Amino acid sequence: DGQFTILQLVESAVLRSGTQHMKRVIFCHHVSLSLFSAVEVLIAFFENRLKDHYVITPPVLQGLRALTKSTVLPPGSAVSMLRSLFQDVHVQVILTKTLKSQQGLGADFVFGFVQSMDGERDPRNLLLAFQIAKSIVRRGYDLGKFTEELFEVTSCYFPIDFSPPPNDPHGITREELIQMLRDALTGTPRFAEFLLPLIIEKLDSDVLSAKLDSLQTLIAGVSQYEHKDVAEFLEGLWASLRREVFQTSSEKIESAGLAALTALTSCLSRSVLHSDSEDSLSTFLDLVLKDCKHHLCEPDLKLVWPSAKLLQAACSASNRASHIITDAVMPSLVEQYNSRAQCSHRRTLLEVVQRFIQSAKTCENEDSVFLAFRPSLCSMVFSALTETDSSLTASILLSLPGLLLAVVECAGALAELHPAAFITKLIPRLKKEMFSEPMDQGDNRLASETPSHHAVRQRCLSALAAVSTQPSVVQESTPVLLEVLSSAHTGNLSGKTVEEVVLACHSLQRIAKQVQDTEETGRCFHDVIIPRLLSLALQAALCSCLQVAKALLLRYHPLFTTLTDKLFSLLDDADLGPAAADGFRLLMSESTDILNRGCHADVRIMYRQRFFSENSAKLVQGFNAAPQEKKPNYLKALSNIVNKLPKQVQVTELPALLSLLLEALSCPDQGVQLSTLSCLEPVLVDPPPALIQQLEALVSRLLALTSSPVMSVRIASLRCIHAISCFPEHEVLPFRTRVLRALARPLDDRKRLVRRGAVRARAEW
Amino acid sequence: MSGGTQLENANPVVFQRSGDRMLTSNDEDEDVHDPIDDREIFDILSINDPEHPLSLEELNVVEQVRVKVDDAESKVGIEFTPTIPHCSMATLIGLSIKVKLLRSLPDRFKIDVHITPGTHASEEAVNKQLADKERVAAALENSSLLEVVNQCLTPTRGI
Repeated sequence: DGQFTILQLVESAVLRSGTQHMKRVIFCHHVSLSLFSAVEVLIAFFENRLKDHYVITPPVLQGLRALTKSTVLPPGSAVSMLRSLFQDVHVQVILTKTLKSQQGLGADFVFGFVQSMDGERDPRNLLLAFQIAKSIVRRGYDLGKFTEELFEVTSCYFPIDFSPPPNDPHGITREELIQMLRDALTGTPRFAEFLLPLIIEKLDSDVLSAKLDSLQTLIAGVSQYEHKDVAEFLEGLWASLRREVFQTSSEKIESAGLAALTALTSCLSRSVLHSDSEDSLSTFLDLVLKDCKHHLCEPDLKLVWPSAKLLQAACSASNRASHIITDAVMPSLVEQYNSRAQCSHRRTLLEVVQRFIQSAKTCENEDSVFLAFRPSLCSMVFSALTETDSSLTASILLSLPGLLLAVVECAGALAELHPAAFITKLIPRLKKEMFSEPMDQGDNRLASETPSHHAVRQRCLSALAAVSTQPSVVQESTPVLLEVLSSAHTGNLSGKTVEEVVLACHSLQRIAKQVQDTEETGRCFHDVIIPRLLSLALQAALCSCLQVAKALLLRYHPLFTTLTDKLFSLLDDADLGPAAADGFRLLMSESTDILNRGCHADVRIMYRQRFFSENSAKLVQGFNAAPQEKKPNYLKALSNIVNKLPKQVQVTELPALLSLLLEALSCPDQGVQLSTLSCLEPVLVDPPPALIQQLEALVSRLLALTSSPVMSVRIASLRCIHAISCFPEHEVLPFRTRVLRALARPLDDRKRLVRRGAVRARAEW
Repeated sequence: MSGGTQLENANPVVFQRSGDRMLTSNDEDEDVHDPIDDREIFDILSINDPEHPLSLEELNVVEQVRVKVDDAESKVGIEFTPTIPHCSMATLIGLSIKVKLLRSLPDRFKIDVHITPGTHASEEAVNKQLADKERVAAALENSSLLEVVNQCLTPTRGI
């Protein structure tokens, strides 16, 4: 009489020890649970308990599970159990545990599930339902004859069209639903025969989101299918994908379509070929090629790009695919390029080729794919580089990062054969790329340097190295590299990075290794490159040395003299002389940001005067001893030093340096001229006798400077001439006629400021 | 001038000097050619009045508006206005202007100095003298006249 006992037990258990106790009871008696009615009662009891406080749920579920182990579960009970579960339970982990227990039910369970899910509208339930469906299909349940039904009941919701209500407390999003459904639909290859037609149908929809969903579901699906699953639908799928890409209205759809093609091709590529089976991959690709290849032969029609993209998408799917497609496409692309003369066509073709190369990069062994085509690719690149129309070379250079390094390398081989072409066309273009500023984008020029600019420049550097084998080419390419180095040194980096400078050095090194060893190249290196490199290195060292020297000078530290002695000795150096001379300006001048009193630097008083008085003799000596071509360095150094002295000091010190100054007036360097003139002017106000004795030389030189190409020099010399008019009359009178005549010319100077100075001076005279 | 003689125009009306010419960036650009313009000529004519320690500009004897220069044609024309209609200094003033321009302009220029029409009793006669190159040259060989002219052309003390 188990029935009655259990009923009583149930009722009493509710009052006393709760469901756990009930469960144990059931376990003990499960063998004897042969009575439908008892089981029904228990199921009803448990289902009702589900509605209670959630704490009870776990044991209730365990109870249900125990019940389901019973062999005599009434037919509708699975359904009603699941329904209660759906309605009242939200904990998924427990669900899957429950599901495990359902395994034994097999097809019945599936049927039950299908029935209970039918017509469901609540998104929460749907989410769960999809997840259960996904678990069902993924765990390989024996779906039996209900496969199609299960598919139907889930796929009727595809594609998801759901807008969450505002202030939705459950927070279920459309994306969650889409993803869950997709996982369910694509969970097993057994659905393929239903899913693929569905996708083809839905792709035809006008709604963009439906298309997108279809494509993404397709991608998810084929990633798990084998070729036999998709075989019969290939034509239909291809027709849809082709349509989506050819007539695309949205970039998202286009890229999803391309990705779908790639996925499909990968799927086919995974198939193992048997000797008697059809090669589905090549069949499919034949289909693709048939539709796309001929468009590539018409580069000015709109369809060349969609076709190229489709082919590239297929190409990047697998090694086999890329081989098949490039073998089919490249010969005609190359032939097209060679036969068409119009630049825009060629540019299009080049870009198509470049993208093929890029898409092949995604496979392994990219080089092997293009091995057969390397010669023709090289000649394409070469002809593009030497094209007179610069827009073509521009596109090549911009796509240089994309081109295989191999192609750039083979440009090196070509350079051996046609050095003149390379010198006249390629190298200037590369140089322009190297030193060009990126397009102005508002104020932030440097900030707008993108990584691609760096990449282009780096490729240019590599290209320069690659093509430099012939001596004549080397002579043209190495100056560009040296210029990169020296521009980095002068601080005019304009966006060049340290990497680029290093790469320039590496390129030089490489050229040194690979260049033909002839006398010409040997001389080029010996006479030009190596000295330049040395002086660049020295200059870099010099800059930092100067700052240290200045710091020492300000404090008048004893160590300072060793550094400045070195600086003086450098005035004789061919390369560093001018830099050293300029260095004196740095030493003497007031810097606003460092080493001044404002930042508490220790600045000794009159350090400039001291420096001058202690070193002027040395300067004069050095100047007198120096050969003619080195004298400007000394003059520059002198004028840099003197210029920074206070005026009174200048006036007292200068007479001693008069001959040097007069010499400086004849120096061709305009900077020296200008600084000398400005030093001289205050002295002329109260001329020392020594100066008056030199009047002839002075006047001659000053008059000569009134024709200087530099405006400021002309003005300064006119002022000096004006000042001389105040000299003692008897000294000056003999020069009057000459000066008046000479000053007639600057009266007609093209610059008003010069004319004004001339008018004043001439009026005085 | 000698101190004892009576001044012709003891109480002249004094006008304000215009400020210095403003520099533009083009002025300092090496590559831009600055043509000679009216203001430039006017600035050259900073000449003193013979009687007063005042410039001709301050007396409104010369005005920029009455300066007409054509650099391309190498021509310059100045109209000057004597302060009183019977000013006997008119010739002297005109001569000073002419000399200043001769000394300050390139040789290619043709210089025309005349009295503003209707401002002087003997303007025709004065204009004729000033236009006559030989008379001007002869006058400048007169050393005392030259000295007077030079004094007018000497930059004003105190500027």
